[in-house]
Amino acid sequence: MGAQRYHVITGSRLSRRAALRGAALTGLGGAALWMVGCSSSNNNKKGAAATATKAATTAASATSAAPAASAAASAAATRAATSAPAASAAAGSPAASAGSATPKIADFGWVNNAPDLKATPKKGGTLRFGTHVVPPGLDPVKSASYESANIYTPVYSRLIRAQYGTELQPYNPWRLMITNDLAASMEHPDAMTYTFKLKPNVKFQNVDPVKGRAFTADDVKYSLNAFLANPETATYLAAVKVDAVDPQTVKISLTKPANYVLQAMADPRIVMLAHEVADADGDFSKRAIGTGPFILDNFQPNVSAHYKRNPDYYRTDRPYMDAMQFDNFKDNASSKAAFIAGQYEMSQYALLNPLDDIKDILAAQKNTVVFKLQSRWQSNIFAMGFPADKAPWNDQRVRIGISKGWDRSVYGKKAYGGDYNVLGPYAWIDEFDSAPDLGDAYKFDQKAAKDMLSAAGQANLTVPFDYFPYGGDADDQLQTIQNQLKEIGVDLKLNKLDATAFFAKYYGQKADGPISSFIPTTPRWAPLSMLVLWHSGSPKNYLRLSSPEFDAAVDKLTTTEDKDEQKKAYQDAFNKLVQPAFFVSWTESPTYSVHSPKLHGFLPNMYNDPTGWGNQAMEDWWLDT
Amino acid sequence: MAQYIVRRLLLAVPVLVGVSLLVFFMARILPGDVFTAQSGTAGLTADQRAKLRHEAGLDRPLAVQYFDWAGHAAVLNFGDSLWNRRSVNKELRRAVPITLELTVLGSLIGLLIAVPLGVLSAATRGSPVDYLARLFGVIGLSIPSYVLGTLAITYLAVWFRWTPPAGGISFFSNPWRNMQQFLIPSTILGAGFSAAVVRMTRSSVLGALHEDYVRTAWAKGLRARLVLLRHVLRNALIPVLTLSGAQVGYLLGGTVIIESIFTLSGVGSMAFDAITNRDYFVLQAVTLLAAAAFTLVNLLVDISYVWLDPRIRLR
Repeated sequence: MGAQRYHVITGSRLSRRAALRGAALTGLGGAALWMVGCSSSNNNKKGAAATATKAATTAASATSAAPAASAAASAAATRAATSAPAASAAAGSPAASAGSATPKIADFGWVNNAPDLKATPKKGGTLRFGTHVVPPGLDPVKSASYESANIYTPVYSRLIRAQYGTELQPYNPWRLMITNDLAASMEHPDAMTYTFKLKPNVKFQNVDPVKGRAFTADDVKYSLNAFLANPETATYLAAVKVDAVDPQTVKISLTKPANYVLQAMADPRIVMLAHEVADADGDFSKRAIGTGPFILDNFQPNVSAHYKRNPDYYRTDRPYMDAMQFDNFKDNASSKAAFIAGQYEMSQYALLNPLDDIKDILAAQKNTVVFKLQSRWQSNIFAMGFPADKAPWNDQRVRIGISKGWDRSVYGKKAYGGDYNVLGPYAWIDEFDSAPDLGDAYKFDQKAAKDMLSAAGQANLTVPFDYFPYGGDADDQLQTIQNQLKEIGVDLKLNKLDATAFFAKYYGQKADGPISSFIPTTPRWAPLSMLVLWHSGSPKNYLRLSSPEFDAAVDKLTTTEDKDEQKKAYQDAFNKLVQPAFFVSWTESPTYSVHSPKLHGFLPNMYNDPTGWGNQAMEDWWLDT
Repeated sequence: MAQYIVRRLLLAVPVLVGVSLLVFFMARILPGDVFTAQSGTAGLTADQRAKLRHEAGLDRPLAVQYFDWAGHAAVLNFGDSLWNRRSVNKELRRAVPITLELTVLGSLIGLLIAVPLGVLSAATRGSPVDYLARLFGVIGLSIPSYVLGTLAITYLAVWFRWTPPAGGISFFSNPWRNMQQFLIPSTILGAGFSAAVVRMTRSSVLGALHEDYVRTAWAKGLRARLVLLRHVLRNALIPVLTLSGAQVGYLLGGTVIIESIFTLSGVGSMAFDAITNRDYFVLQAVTLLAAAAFTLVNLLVDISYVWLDPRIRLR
């Protein structure tokens, strides 16, 4: 969003020229930017259970802090089936110490007005949230869109879920720890079987046509089968068979080894549904009725959503807030202005350019809480992808030559003051103890680049590049790259598309030349994303990569039960994907989230991200009213 | 007169059919479809997309799709949105009052500024007032409404810690809050509207001031106000009205951005979303509605000529 220039709101005087220029750019950029959103990825597997006993995971009570069946990320851990009581909501550490905790390459924390994580939550109040999502219906089965998830996630529960903010000790936004949601316990007697006992006395929301009936194992079976019948979710839910053993017991059998089944089921979109809704409406597009903390009592697509507290929620002390009001903004400047005016506790558009927008907001609202995350769990990598089966892009020398031809620090310094990252979710994950080696492609050397291209017979290369400016500054950044590549005889022909046209070309596998500006990495847990998007056997291998070495590494990554082997396999897969430069990343700024100091409990992680995939953690948010 | 109106309404039918055909086919030329847009970054394989297109009937021949849609549209049934499966009619019932209020209020404010200013400018030709009015016209035409809107909302937030509330509250349910929402965006739309009209009013009034009947009125010793209002303005208004009718079309276009900036989810926003999301049924309905509104406004303008100039006979 570096292209966006808002006017300077600081105490300094604002010149008319600056104001007009800023307004014009903001207005123009805003129209494109309202579509922007998304986020996500990643994992971690450190904490938790490593004991390899075939025990049962006995998750504790359903009260305040959720029971943490810390099945961690690895299947080895899940097999161990530990039971660790989760942290209370009051626990946690301040930003500075959180920032110095694992993962080692991580860079996150509060850069202004760090919240007191030990403050005692208060009940009541209405959260006012400015969103920008235009959800394509509310059906979790039919739409994998983050925009739909953004609206429906507070309504539903999952069988298992990712731990929320302070449940993670220490808080670590990159860590994916699995805990029970509607499950009370889990047994993992062998690599192919999971048995879940359900919490007793869980009821659906008391809304027609479900009318507060009890939640049973049949609902789990119905819900998971619905997602398995959908080709999108089926691609990452693995091959599973679901059986309701009795009203309180569900058995899930794998038909082939898949160590990621828990991570996939904890995805915020894999929610527990009530069949009565689909029976009445045909699908789940129009109404969202679940067992979750909030009841969606008024929803006007593209306008607003209003939620009220679910009095029958199984966590009797949650949610803290009485209600939530989401208002839809299409314009970034308006969203920011409304936040500055104090009309919203949080604004989804407050994912901002640190050099401009944060400064503006802090000048107007000095106490605003600002959270920085170096590389969000983006569901995208900002990069140039090469169709792997088309000449000359199938020549590694060409791909690496192009990548070596531009200096990433030029734009990184210009737009982000030198604070930037590359390769987003794949590199910034807890699988690495230190920054990974990105290989020769990321070492700027124009002479070597020219030599490589010449050796490949491409001394004067024209690169047609279809892109969609996802993220506000793709245009700026690509023009910077274009200028640098000219110096090595590469003519980057930029062809800008709108989102849908871009998706049609990319997902339609119609790309003959380099494409993107961003490579979607959904699902967001990086190992799963690698399997779904780059494995030659996946129907979603849109850039038609066929690398036996990479496939072997991913096969190992997604089947081994040994955590150390998993980690090694991830690094191996990463190297086999990144170092041959099947796609080459450019720079990305850190993500900044801002919210009012009245709001507490905002501790995002990859599966609980109110500015992206979902808001299920909103049950832990509270307002200092 | 009645015959004229009926004939004009009948003539509007081919216009609307033409517009619907144009939009129908142009929307389908755009790369990608609603299902591609819906899947977003999650993506969709060719098989998945084909299945969804079949379920929605989008794999049928275009002619079949058009006549199917047109048959329903003829009885004002615009179907369900492909994007969110909601009834388009229901969405229009919510959105139309927002855009209507914005457009009507914008036009009224524009006329209230433009006509007096144009008359004053012409009546005081060469004076500082005239120069100021002309300067207003030039500035108003030069600054796009989205710039004014962004500036307005930003300064309101920074200086007064206030921005117009989001949503679209009916005037009848809460007039005060409704005005909080609509007054500023309508004024911004009206400013752009008035800039064009003030220049036309000025030149038209200047032309009328030199007519023989005006000289006669002066010679009769009528008061200046009477001369200006009864003899000059009434005759000068015909080109002003013609321009205003055309400006309503531009005003409707302007609401797309203004609605986005001021978080008013009216028809403009619906159109914008529909184009982005390739939501064909919504796009077709909105375009048809806009074309019908534009046609109706121009009919009203034509009818008003008779009131302004009894010599005109509509046949």
